[in-house]
Amino acid sequence: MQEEVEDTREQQARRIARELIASGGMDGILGLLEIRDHQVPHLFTEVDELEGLDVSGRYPIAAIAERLLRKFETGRIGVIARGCDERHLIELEKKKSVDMSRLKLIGLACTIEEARECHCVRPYPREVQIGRSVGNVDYLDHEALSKLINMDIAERRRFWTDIFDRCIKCYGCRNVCPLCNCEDCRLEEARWVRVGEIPPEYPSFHLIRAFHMADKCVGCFACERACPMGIPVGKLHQLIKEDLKSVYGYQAGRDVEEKSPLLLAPGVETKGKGGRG
Amino acid sequence: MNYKTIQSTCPYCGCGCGIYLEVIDGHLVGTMPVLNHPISKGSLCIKGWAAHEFVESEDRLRRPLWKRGANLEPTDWDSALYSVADRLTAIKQQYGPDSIGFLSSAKCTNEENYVLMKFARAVVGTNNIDHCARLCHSPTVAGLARAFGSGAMTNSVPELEEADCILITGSNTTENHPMIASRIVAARDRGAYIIVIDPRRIHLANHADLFLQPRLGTDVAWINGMMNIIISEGWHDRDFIRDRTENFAEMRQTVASYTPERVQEISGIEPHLLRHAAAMYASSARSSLVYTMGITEHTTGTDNVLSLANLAMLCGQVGKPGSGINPLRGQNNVQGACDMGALPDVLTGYQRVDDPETISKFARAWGANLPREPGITVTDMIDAAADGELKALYIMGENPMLSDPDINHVKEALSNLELLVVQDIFMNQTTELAHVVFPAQSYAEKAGTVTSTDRRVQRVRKAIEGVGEALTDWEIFSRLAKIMGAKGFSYETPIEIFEEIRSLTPSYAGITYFRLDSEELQWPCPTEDHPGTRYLHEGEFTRGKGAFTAVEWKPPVEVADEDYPFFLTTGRVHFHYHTGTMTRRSPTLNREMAGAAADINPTDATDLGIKDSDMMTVSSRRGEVKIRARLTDSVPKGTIFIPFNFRESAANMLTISARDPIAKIPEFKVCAVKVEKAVSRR
Repeated sequence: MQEEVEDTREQQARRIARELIASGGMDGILGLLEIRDHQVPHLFTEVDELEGLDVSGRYPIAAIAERLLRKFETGRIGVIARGCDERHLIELEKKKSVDMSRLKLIGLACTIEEARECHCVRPYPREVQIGRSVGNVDYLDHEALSKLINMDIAERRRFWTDIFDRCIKCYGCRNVCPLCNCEDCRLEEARWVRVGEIPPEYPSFHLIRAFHMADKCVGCFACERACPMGIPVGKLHQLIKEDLKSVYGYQAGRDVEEKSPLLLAPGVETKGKGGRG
Repeated sequence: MNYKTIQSTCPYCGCGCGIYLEVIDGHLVGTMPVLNHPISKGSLCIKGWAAHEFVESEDRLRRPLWKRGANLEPTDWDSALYSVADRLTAIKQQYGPDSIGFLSSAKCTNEENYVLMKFARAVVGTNNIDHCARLCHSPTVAGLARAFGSGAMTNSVPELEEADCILITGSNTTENHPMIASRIVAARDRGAYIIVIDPRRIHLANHADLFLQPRLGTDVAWINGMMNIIISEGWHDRDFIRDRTENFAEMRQTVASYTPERVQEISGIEPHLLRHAAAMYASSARSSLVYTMGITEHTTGTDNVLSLANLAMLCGQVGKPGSGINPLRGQNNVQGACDMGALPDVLTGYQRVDDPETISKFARAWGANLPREPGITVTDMIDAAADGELKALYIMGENPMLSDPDINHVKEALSNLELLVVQDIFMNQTTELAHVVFPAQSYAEKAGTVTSTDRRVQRVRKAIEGVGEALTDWEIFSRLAKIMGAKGFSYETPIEIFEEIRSLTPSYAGITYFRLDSEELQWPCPTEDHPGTRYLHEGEFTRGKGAFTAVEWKPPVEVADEDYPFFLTTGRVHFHYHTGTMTRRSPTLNREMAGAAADINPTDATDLGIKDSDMMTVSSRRGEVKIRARLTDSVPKGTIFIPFNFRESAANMLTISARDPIAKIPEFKVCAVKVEKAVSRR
């Protein structure tokens, strides 16, 4: 049953990509190529290549799109984008890091299983062209989140001190995130975090990152999956996101016009739609 | 507009992590983790994430160089190759084949190590071939081969997660095998006991149930002490000892004198802590030992490994999933370089050069007469060069001028050679002394296979074209062999080389490029329908019965004294790799750590009037270095630690070349030094 759905998504993706390439409107379609049982990010430029197009992996495709736009001054790219990829791109557009007029999003809806694996609450883009939207779900690991939130201060400090102490400073949480991409990263500056040491200083390394991501994180959990030491960085971001939502009604990745409350003077409206978008 | 990602294997340590190299219009622009990789599972360490950064560096060697007067000058391939071929032929004729030595490379592919090994033996006719495994795990190869019949990691990296107790000794795992540390931490989350036994308070000690801090060079003593406790308490596995081992009685007699009190005198470990460690290790259903250079780089390296083998057999903790002895190999392909016979006494798959059947099999396959006497080791080659017995040394991708002990001695030796040929991707301290330098291709420019620490054979794939005129190492040797009139070197692709390897190597016989396209295979893999081997020694050891060895503790060769009152221990750091030729050209890694620092205990520093970041002068009987101080209680009082990665503060100016009598590994981990505050400016 599941395989049929997967096949359908791939067939749909190939058909749309073929049309876009054949019509000459796109310089390439950014998606995943299945090769030797692995799905790798790839820019499809020829119709012949599309047989290998696959939609089952999850990579920071928005970061790759951004890099391609920066590298090539002209040209348009189609991007097979999940809900989280689209939210990444909206945030990048807010920072004027991508010119959306050069991108054409081909919306891919995630399956229930994929949504569950990623702890997703909105596993579909605004316009779905591949697959079928499973609607608003809530696969956040609420049990784990409330466990974290219900710790008393001493317990909380002990937990985070111990778990952050595992960090080997791979920067994987930053590297994998399309939005944690400042040109001059504070985490690399000796002024903020002593260089050349593992574990990195507690709490500066992790809290700098957490606060920098507070109004950017769209909840894709790629950081948590990339962490080799099992640090629940995604859950940490989730808790901070929840605060921004309840205090300001702000959600990153929802609308390019929605401004971060952290960038506005007190009292100014965020233009947020409020509630879950 | 062209963007693609090529799957490959990380070029740094022996974990064998899966990486995607991102290529835009023929240039490397990034590295990403392979999501469903069996080792790295979508993660990488900082070096892995930065694996693309050095590849297209301005500093890459782009043309062959040869010495003209005092300088190395560019030349063309033919001139350089013919000149090397002529000199090798002349030296062989004048002094005999054993006046020539070869150093192979744990950074190169299996195919390249095989072709060099074949060139040395079939074209030049010498078994003088060795590589840096001599300086890291030669005691493992020797010790575990003696105890079990196979000198490799017994289990798989993913299996560590299944262990109920992991004893880590002499391995700073989070720094040097980060993706294996990831499994150790995951095992802890599952409830496994983690025991760290190390002279330094390493990062992983913070996450251990038990941390024991022995004095440097006391490993045999505390391992014997643990066994003494286990036997007295009756925690040993009598059935396993009876059914699967031999020589237990003699070993038992020896450890009887290693009472916890005596062990405390030698090692400083408190008896009740040693007892806890013994109880955890012996009583868990699946216990694993994890070790690296802290065990091997001693004059008693082989003894240390034999002792760990004794401990595992005593408790029946080997030959099961998640239970065994796991030496972590340091380089991406050091396991493979050993497997390929880049060693003086064995051909591929550890087939001995003094075994007549082996020699006639290879002689027939290669159409050449082959030498039957084992050759000499890296360390002996350096001595032989200094003595004038070795006339030519051919080095593929190694930098002994920084990685070998007592650098002054190495320099004197290499300068004494009639011919020094080096092929590498960058200039380094060793190429500077060479007569001819060949530019080689990096891992990202070529195809082949590497074998990571858990005997796992994986593909390396070509992502970009060769930089400049650089050639793959196997092409360089093939061209040289043809110029020297040898047959059997007309390879077109690495697949042809691999097919030849597996036709001659039973443990690799079932591995093919086709299979490796979709799976990683662990040797032994004797046939094409064999799934590979996750863990060794199930039911029976490779040699039949496991052999206990009675081992007495011996102190290090040089200990702290009045003139040199500190112990020096050396090793690696997280942010750099070996002699830094790759990592120090990587902006990400350089930003993190731009230069060397020596770890010194704050109490010692205060006594010497040294503050954090002060320059210190550290001297031994062999040399002197200036190095910045880093005050940390990760080192005990009386001991300093210097990483060997940095040429400007080279730890190996100080180290001693005294070596293990069997494995010939130098005692990198212990020597005596003097520490002073440097008089010059900071």
